[in-house]
Amino acid sequence: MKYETLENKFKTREEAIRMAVRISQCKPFIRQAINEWLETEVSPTLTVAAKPGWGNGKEWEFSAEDLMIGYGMHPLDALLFLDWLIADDESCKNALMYLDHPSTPHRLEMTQDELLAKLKPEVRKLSEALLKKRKQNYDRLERYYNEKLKGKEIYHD
Amino acid sequence: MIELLIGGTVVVVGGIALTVRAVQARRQQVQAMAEEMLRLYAANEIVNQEIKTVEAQQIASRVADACDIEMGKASVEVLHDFFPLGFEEKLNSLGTAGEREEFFRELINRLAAAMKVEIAEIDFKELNPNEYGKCGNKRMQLNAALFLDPASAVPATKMVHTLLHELRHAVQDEALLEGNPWGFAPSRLAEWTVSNANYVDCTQAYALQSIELDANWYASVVLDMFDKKN
Repeated sequence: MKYETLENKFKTREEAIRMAVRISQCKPFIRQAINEWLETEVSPTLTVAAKPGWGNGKEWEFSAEDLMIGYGMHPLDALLFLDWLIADDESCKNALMYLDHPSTPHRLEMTQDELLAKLKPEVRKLSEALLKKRKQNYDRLERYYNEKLKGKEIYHD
Repeated sequence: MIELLIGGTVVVVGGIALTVRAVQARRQQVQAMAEEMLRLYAANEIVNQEIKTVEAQQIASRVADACDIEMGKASVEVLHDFFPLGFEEKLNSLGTAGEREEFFRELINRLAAAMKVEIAEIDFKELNPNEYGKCGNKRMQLNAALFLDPASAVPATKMVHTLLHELRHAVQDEALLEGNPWGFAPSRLAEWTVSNANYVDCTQAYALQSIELDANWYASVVLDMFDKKN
């Protein structure tokens, strides 16, 4: 399955592109599992073991099923989480800390423009500068996606 | 033919000297390749910065504002009043759902007063089994099954962490929308504003948003202070 198929699976093109770039950074066996899930829609059963440097030699084993059942994660989310978990020691620690303290994403019930309009001028100016920087980053990601990922297979032997 | 470009000098090994035009073309080609490599590197770096390492960077570089310290100390005082013998001991002494609800309502109101934030409504209700709680529009909702059932397997520390985390979200909302009476730095308010625009619906990206990092940071700092004082 190609990266461009993700474009139909997310609410916005930006989300699909950011997700495509994130998936492209995953380890090959994680991309293989993501590819299988996209093709078959069968819940993934992948299990990984993490042995972080700060863990006094202890090894943790996590499966996509654990994350989906125990933490209510979406299958794709669970696979990305496994990739994060084994990315490096500090990320693994952060991932485990998050699992210990799950909470619902906090959102103000208003649009970005409505929120900006309510801010003090100084904060609004700083916020707009951050949003501009973020837009520039996204533009670069989009170019990268269009040129290097869009038509490429997520995983191939 | 092997070419070496050293400080603008053209050295040609085993071939015919290049014309100025050819050298310029070659330089442009090399420069374009370098720019392309940097661009691709930058694209990956963006993702790395935005998704992979933000938490470590932000937590490591976090400097508490004066208002954070004041708020933290006031919260710890409340926790000491409510949990003189520790979290587990206190919750274990509350034998019914009614007792637990009354206790948590009073605790939330006292913590909110200490943090100088308004909570108009507290609801214990059925939520998604994995959801501990949420807070918005001055209304805190908590998972009744996890908080009120005396047989709940959720550690008391996690419950208190959740309360502090959600109250901190209420502080963030008021700081953005109601004039920032605490005096948070404008740069932090700007981070929270931008954080409010979620771009990828996945746990990892969610966990790395500055409003969530800040709420987790605050709850962890207060619990650490409580532990040290005990």
